[in-house]
Amino acid sequence: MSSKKAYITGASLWCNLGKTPNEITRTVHSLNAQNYETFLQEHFAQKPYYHLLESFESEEKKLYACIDYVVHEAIQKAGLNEEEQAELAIFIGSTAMGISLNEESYTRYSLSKEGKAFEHIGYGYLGTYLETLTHSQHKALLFSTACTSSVNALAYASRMIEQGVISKALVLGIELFNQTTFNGFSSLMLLSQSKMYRPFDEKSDGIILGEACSALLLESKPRTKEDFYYKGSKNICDIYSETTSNPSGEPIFKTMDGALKAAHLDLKAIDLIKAHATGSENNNTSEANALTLLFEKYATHPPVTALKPFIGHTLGASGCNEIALMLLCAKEGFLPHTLGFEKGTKEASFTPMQEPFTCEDIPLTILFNFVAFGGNTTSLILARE
Amino acid sequence: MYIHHTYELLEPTQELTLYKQKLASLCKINLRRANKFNLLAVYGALSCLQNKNFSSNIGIYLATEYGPVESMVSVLEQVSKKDGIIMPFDFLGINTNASFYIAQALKAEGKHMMLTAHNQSFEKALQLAYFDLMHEEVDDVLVGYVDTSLSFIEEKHRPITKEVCFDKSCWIYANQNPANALAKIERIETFESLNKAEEHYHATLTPTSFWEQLQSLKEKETSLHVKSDERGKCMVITLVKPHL
Repeated sequence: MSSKKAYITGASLWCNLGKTPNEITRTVHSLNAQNYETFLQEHFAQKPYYHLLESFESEEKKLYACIDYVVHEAIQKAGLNEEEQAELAIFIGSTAMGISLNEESYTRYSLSKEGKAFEHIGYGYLGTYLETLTHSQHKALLFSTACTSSVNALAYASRMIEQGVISKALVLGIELFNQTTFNGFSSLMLLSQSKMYRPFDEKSDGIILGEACSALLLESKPRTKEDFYYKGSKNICDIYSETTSNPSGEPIFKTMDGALKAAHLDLKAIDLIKAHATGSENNNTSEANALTLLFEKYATHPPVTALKPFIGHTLGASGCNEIALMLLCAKEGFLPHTLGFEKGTKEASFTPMQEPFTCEDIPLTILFNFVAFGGNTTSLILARE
Repeated sequence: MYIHHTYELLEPTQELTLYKQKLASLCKINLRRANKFNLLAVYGALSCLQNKNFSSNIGIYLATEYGPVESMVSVLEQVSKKDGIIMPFDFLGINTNASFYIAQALKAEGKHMMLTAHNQSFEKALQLAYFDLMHEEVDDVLVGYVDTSLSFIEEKHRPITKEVCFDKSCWIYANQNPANALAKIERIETFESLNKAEEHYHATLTPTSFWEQLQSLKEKETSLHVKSDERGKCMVITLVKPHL
């Protein structure tokens, strides 16, 4: 076992709730069963999608504005000087990467036959951009494992710090609106028609996508006593199907159990489980069954929450985004509750947390669960003393 | 980290149907709707491990510079139209499912990752696999580099490198067992510039092909695979002939 720890010393998020920690956490805390529907109706006036509140001149400007903001915020929060920034190993996780830039250029080219048909072929340029932005001496690595992309990036960054392979890391999760993803999920008939995000609820009828960008800064030493650190993680492949998890929940259960083993923890030590909770029919069954198996094995039942009703499903960036959201809220003394839940599906043996969890100045251990297309399943545990 | 098996496919542009036929001769999995990128990836990976034993806790690391470009262009064409309707299989085709298909074909329930690092995708994927193997996260690793030829794209829209008009699917299988190994990866090092790497090695280093360096171990004890990007960031992989 490694003697080093990987601490998250900086976290930033730009999402539909805003871009400052104060804006984001205030809104999260204020949302409840009574005002959730109105919040969604107002937010979804244009389309059922958790969108950034700002408008941008182009997709390119939007992409780089988001990256610049979250990276600078995370670096500033950690208080890194230029020399320390050069030590940052860079990890990026996303599903769509920069496809919105290609949509823009391809459509323009199709109409005019002038200019570039593609802004870029391949997404390595995002890594090069971050290397330049941070003056990092390291080469950036991009993870494309669908919805587990950025949590896998975080797990590797953490383990490499624990093992002394790197001293600092910047993990970026980015998922911005693009027609390809929106229309693609629509053609797979996975999007909610009711426009109410209700994971694990009997009225749940699908996914609502969202856009957000976040950065997590990791170091081998904490900057404050509130900094969370990596306890362990597990990634496995559920080979049941390309687009659905094994409904028995067995592979997801094995992943969560594997993360507990990697962290040398019993489930009794977990204060909260952040479920993947996409609201899809398959996830409502498979993840609920997995949680039931976990609760039965350990004969305990920690609270479960879901964050997608606040920020939407941000796919490959959901790992980084939801962890950043959780850490920002924890810093404000609470952990977010689950919106949109009234009565569970027949598989849900639990009631997701209905009120925020007050956690000011107390030790915390949280298990984060993520499940992706292609059977890529990851659980990761973070704690603070 | 000991390399036991390798497979290298490097062909000028071929039709998708050819890879379908080749794959059908290797396995029975249904990839009727798969794109060329996925077919190439599965064909290469299975060719590397054909009739070989491996652990079910195998890690699969698929590196690519460009990903499934044919599907991406097809999807861009569809979304640029007025109704913007996307065919489900085309959408799934751009969502990096190649490593899943490999895992499914191999019935492998360890991890599978699809990775990119500008101009060093294979080397960075190999570094990750090395890390997982050394820390016993997985028992075996299958590391590959896959890209399809971009010859179908008008030249002015293609990346400016000479290798883009080839289909590539190159794989290695490795673990920690030295018995009967073809080569040992002794070290994987990164340098912020080629100069720094040269200072470290007290030698002039020139970029190489990993596969050629592997072959060169037939004639020498050690060889260095060097890969640098256009900004000079450099990776050096030390390959040695295994001695039992």
